[in-house]
Amino acid sequence: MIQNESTMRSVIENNDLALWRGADGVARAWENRCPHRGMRLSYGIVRKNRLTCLYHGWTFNGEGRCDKIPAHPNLDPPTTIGAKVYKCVEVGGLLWVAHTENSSEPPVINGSWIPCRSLHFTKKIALSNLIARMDADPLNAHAQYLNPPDGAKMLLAVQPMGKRGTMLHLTLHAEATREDHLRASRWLIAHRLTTEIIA
Amino acid sequence: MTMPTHLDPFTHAQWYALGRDEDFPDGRKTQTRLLSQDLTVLRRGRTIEVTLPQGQPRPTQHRYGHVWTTFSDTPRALYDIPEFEEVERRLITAGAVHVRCSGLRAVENFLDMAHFPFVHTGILGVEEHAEVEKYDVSMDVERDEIWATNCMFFQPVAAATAKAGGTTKYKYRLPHPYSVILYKTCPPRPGEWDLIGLFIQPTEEDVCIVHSFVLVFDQDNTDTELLHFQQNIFLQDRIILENQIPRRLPLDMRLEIPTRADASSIAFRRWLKANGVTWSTVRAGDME
Amino acid sequence: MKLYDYVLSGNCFKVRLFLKFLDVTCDLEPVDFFPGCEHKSPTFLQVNPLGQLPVLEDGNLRLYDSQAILIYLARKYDSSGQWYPVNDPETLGRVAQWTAFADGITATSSAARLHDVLGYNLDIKAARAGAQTLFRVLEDHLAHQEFNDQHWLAGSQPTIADIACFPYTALAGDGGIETFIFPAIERWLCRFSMLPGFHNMPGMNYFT
Ligand SMILES: N[C@@H](CCC(=O)N[C@@H](CS)C(=O)NCC(=O)O)C(=O)O
Ligand code: FES
Ligand SMILES: [Fe+2]
Repeated sequence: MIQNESTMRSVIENNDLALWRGADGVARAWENRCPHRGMRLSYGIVRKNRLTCLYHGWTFNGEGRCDKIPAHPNLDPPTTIGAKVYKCVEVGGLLWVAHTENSSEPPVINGSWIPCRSLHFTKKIALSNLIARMDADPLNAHAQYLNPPDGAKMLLAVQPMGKRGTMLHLTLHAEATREDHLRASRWLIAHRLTTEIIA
Repeated sequence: MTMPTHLDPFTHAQWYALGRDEDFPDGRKTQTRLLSQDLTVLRRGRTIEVTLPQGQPRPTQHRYGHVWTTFSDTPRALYDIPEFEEVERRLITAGAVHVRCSGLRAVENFLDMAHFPFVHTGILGVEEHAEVEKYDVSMDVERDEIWATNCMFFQPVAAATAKAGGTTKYKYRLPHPYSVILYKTCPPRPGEWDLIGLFIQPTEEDVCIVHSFVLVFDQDNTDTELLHFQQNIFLQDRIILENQIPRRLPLDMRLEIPTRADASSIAFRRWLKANGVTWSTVRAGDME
Repeated sequence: MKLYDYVLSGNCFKVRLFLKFLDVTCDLEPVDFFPGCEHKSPTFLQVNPLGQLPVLEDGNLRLYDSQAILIYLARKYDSSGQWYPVNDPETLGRVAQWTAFADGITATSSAARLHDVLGYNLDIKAARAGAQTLFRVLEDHLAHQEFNDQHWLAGSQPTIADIACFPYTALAGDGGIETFIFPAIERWLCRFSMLPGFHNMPGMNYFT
């Protein structure tokens, strides 16, 4: 859940990512390393549809190209200078990032979904190990639908973060109520408790 | 003694600061690290002993308010800072700050004016005046050190003594891979320079302890005010230093893109390369 | 009014920031907390026998403990009653609960920072694990608050509880604790940084 004109850090396996969204509402996922001196771009600031690095203010447009170097205000930065941009799309209320060439395509998910929680687990969690005491419906290796006996349909996605464990992202179908969100969140928290105790 | 794998002769040959004289109380052992090795520091009266884990002693010297040691039996001489002899100056040592980064990255950050408007916003720079004018970089061949001179930067509050904004002149001196000294115009005494410097203790390849000092003519501020000013600035840098990827310094120019404002950092990286430095730098295969 | 202050102290920052929010001026008395350890000197122990910062002096009053100082300042200078809502028992109870929670953040996240930045000798694993446990509680609470359109710790308005919890949560990274795994906390920190009068202390880089 990235708000407009803001950045976020994220990690897939051991790859550091800068996620950000411009005023245009478009989400971007870049390698979290400024081409100038390696500063994590997730510390940068977003103004309109450009990201400015915290360290020396190099500014990148939405496509990753550097178009401003404040130390040299009269210089047009060479077109070759840019951040490394990953493919990313938003489906099912989730951001799907292809951090390698051979990342799989995101699943097809219909309808409108609202983010509920992104919860950190200290352990490595595989979808197949998830003891969902409910009717599950796999989408791909990283996501599945869950149909709780009461409440709205849920979508659960796994983000493996290497030595940092796992993030589990839960979104609910748009018609879900506040109570559904609260119940789903409590379910995931309880689930984490059992998972981390068993392991 | 056994050498860490990537320790090169030039890094090995230097003297390193381990702390301020007063950081080592009489009769109490202090454990520390240098170049991935354990060290014990013990003061007995006026002498300081530095020993390796098996008890082998290493030479020490007291200079510039700090205790120095070396692993080398034929060390490169510790450089002179003649300004330490000037009696009217005040010395403030700001203590040891630990940072998860290569000590070489900490040196480079200190050399760099281009970050002032973004990292020290409203103090050492403002975004509307971010331009770095061309400055000169030269080698002092005899002493094998680098100087950056004729550096100018617009600053709203250049020093604790500054009353208003203005262009500050700087010079930078790099006498040692882990020491950097800056000279900046001194508001109460036009024509003189105030000194601020870092003595870096590289504990691991990607972790260091930064010992810093301020050597100034200031009459208006208390030591504690100067200390707070210095620590405020350095902790603003620390968040940058801990978030540069990779933590070690790339010497290969293709990994990070410099501009003219980075002339001093280019010279620093070249100088390290020419001296065969490998410790704490990026090596082939690291970036995959 | 005079504040005994250390530029790198998150607990002193709470007070400086709140004074700014309230638009109240105060003299600062800088203390050489590090490396001089002046807060443990005999002279300073007469100011605060606990040997801790911050300490506020106002006339004949001398107060230590940052949370106590926030309460005092709120009652004295915030005529709106927003920051310390004494007339709303439920909210006040929640304010007290989360204000007390802040001391736990100081004991863990701030301790990790003292270890990692200033080289204090303490159990770093325990400090980080303790902070992790508290941040999970904070994360769940803030996420649940958002479901109810309550964007602050104690309800729909920021209070001294938010001020009390903010600094050592925002500075957790200094102590080697990554907070990007707590997205609701990150959103709350960002909201907090947009309050009028907010400014950073070193180690924070919110866009102001
Ligand atoms: N509960 C106190 C804790 C204050 C505190 O821990 N202050 C730190 C500086 S941020 C300090 O003075 N520590 C020294 C010590 O505890 O010995 C408060 O909130 O003011
Ligand atoms: S590191 Fe990003 S602008 Fe210099
Ligand atoms: Fe800096």
